[in-house]
Amino acid sequence: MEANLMARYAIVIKNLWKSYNGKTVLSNISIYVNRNEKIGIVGPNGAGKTTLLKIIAGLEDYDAGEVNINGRVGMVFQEDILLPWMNIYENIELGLKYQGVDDKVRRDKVYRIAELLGLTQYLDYYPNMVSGGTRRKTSIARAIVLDPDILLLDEPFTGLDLDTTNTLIKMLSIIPSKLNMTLLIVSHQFQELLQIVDRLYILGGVPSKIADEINIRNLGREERIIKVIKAFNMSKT
Amino acid sequence: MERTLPYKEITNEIQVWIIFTIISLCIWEAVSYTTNGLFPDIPTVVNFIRSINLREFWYNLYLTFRNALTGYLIGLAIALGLAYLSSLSKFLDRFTGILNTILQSISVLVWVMIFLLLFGVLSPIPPILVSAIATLPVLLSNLLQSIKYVDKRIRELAKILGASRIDLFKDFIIPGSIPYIASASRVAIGLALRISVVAEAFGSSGGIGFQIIYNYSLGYSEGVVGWALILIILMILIDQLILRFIEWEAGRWRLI
Repeated sequence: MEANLMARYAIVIKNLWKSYNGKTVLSNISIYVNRNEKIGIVGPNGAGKTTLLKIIAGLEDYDAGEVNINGRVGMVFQEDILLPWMNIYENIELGLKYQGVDDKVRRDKVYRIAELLGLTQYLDYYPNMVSGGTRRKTSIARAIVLDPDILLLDEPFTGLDLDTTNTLIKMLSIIPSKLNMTLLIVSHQFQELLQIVDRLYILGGVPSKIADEINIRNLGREERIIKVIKAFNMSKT
Repeated sequence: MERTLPYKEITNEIQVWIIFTIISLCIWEAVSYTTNGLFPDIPTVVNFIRSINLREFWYNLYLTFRNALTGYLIGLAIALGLAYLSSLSKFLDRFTGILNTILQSISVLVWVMIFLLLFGVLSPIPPILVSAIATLPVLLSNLLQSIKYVDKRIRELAKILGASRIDLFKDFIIPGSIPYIASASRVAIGLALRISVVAEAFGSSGGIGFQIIYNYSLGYSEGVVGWALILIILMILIDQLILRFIEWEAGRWRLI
């Protein structure tokens, strides 16, 4: 990929193919994500959204195509996967320890991110002592404390109540711009997603391919919903 | 969300323990009666236990527990080392698996004889090593199994956070295996105690096993049953009051 093109994009995926045991799950996927853009990928369960995210994170191989990532990637998994033997503070700082970050810097970073996400009061608690919403925020904090250029989130709203979902939507709308991050969220809950993202890719069909791409930047909430519903109906026909 | 001890369940279980003890004591008395005192009755054994010099009692207890616990700790350390090796490559994983199979198929009696030949009858080392080698397969099997089943998600998380292979083992696999290690340790410590007694019986100058065989050779059946009873009661107390609680506590470390 040419350097000047890559400078503009955070993620470039071209003609990506992926299969499991001879069964194709992703076919000819092409996605372009600008730097500091907030992108959503929606699709039904089993459409290969998580697989796509893992390929971007370097956790899965792919069969054919091109995947170019410009910057460090952080990932928030579908399940929070907090380590029950560590408290919230230790869970957040884990990646920084592996990077060899100095104790004091580590502490400052964890406290800054904890404050940003409203976790300061829970830092001494263990994961089994806090609510599902706090656990989700902790797993987000653990990813963003590493200052990733690209933040990947896999179904971040699953299993959360309405209040926590709304809080998370507000946070995810603000924090990436504040921290200069590109955001890529996969979810089957498009109503929540379209309150955050600038563009949406719709995965559909068997095997999954990009059924549509919708730009909803600068649109009001209702306009976004109407545009996305129209696109969904079109993609089904 | 905090786990609390299942007090009602514990109370119910204590009731069963009491009933079980009463039945056991009745059977004991019946056996003693039908064998015309060849198997000593309860008062005779109680009198024997009361007659044991307190210093002698604690010394023998100390020896047996030292042998069993040191053996268990050695077994655990070797099991952890082998488990780490097995996580390094497929070859080492298979190698460890084969070693474990071989260890499981060698009788404890063989180990007792080998260590007595190597270290001598009066050496304190054979009971410790026999306990270690007997507990090793139990601990290793559980560790290997838990490593195999440490969630794929955990490995992915470790990778995304930039954990090295040692970090993965130290911060993810071992703590994640603690619930399994705790369950295996419950079995292994009981086994170590039973096995170290056997080794003490064959060659040692002290410990509960030595006392049992010593009383047997003198024809003191109440001594044999008395020391055996001391061991049984202590093992039950340790298992139910300490190991079981540790196993329950370790359950907190299961992934959520």
